[in-house]
Amino acid sequence: MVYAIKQLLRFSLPLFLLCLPIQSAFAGDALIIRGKSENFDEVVRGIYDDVEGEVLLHELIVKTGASVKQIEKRFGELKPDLVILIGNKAVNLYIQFQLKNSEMKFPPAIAVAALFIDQFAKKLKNATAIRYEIPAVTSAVTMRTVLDRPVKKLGVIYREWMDDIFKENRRYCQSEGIELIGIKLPNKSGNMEIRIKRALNRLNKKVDALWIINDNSLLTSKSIAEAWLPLRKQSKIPAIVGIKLFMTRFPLGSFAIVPDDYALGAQTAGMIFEIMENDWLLEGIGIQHPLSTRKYINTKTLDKKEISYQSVKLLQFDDVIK
Amino acid sequence: MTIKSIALYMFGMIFPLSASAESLYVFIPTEVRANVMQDKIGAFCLDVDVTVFGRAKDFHKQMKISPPNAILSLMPVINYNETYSATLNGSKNGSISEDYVLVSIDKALDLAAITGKRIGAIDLLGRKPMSDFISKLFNTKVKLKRVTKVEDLLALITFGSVDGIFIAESLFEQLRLKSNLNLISTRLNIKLGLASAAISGSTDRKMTECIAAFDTELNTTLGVDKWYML
Repeated sequence: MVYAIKQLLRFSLPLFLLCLPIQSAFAGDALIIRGKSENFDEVVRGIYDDVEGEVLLHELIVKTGASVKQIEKRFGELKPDLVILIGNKAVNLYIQFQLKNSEMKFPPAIAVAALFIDQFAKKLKNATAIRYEIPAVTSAVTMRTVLDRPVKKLGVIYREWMDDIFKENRRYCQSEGIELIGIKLPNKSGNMEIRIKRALNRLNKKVDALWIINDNSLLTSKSIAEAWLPLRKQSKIPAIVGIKLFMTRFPLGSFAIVPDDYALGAQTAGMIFEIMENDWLLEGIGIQHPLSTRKYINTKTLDKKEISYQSVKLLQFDDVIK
Repeated sequence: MTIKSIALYMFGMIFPLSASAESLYVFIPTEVRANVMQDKIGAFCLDVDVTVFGRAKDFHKQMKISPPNAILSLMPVINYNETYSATLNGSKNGSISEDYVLVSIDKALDLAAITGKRIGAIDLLGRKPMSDFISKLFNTKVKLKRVTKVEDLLALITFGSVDGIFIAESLFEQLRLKSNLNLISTRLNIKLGLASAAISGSTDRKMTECIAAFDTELNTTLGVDKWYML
């Protein structure tokens, strides 16, 4: 028995001592709540690579139908200094958690890789975010850099509820000398594809390029088949899309400018450090735009439309579809 | 699969060609994608295992895991890796260093009031070393915002995430060609070394010889026009 205790001490004491400095080396604990996806894996990798050794990351991967109880359990175990919400599923679950535990004092939270986060951020307490949508100005400047023709007027179709998003994008485009011309469609409509057709016809006559927003209601399978694809096929103006698929399988545009998930993680890490250095307080840290993108170009469709470009600039793209 | 091909495969696994080749790590932030640059450099350095990194973090991580025979990077990165000594200096217009500027929108930054300002820069060294490096250059503490790619600097300043960005004068010229923002540069008394090659221990001459043989296009991408053996 004595021998057993001695042996236990012999092995567990050094382990315990080894763990002490490791524990205290971290400035804080952060709980990552996220769904399961390769994109989110990349975001986590970007965060981890930067905060490694300074902030201890814990992950809670939530599946469809996950309950608030899972967050309550992890909160009880960890008492995190910070929460990172990745994706809309995690954001929605955390909103429910906050509603259910309204008396609780919540640590600061950062929401990333969630679509149209401004709408949800209002419902979150003590939270900030990095938007997932790439601003029009970022994409338009990328396009302008490579094309031989001027990009002074950029057209966009958007829905009524996106008015603020449109206005903000218009302001940024203006600073770059690009006029963002929008056609607003109702939030709901029984004949969305006809409205999109009309809007595309109008825009085709007055803009140099199109910016196609990722919106489920504007890009339904019906509207893609009946409005977007036939009209984009006819059109001679280039377009920017936010999903690579809309540049390859469904060729709506020749440029796909999408979030760089790893860099999004690194940007999140920057925010984490800012909060950490501010004694885990969120004060003055507002919602940010994503800084980094992955850029794809389809020169095959550009050639088809007789849109010329500078070949040397293709080296700046992550992938060139020829 | 024949027995012969299995045997060849096994031989390749046991004696990989790369084990005998010397290795070169390249980390020079440019707008050209790392895979493209790797192909270009690889075409000049045929007997060398070339790996081009697009991100500081990846470069430094790999340096720890598997240090190469030589590195090709900007001088601050080479100086940070003390076990490597420079053997080849890149130069541009006869100079081996370049002026750096602070770029802001509409109004020049007041250098006397730079303490605590939010300054954007491309990450060369990782969070803490980069922060120390910038503080030393400015002789004061600034709030450093690092980005992974050259082009991200424009987004940083467009969205007002920083008061100014710290970049090489040549990059500022590229930025001006790209953007219609009213970009103002403030000259600093800061010069940093251009791309250089450094080796660890004794390395075959072919390593530096292949770099010195880069063509004009590749040199321009790396921000140099000539190489000088040290």
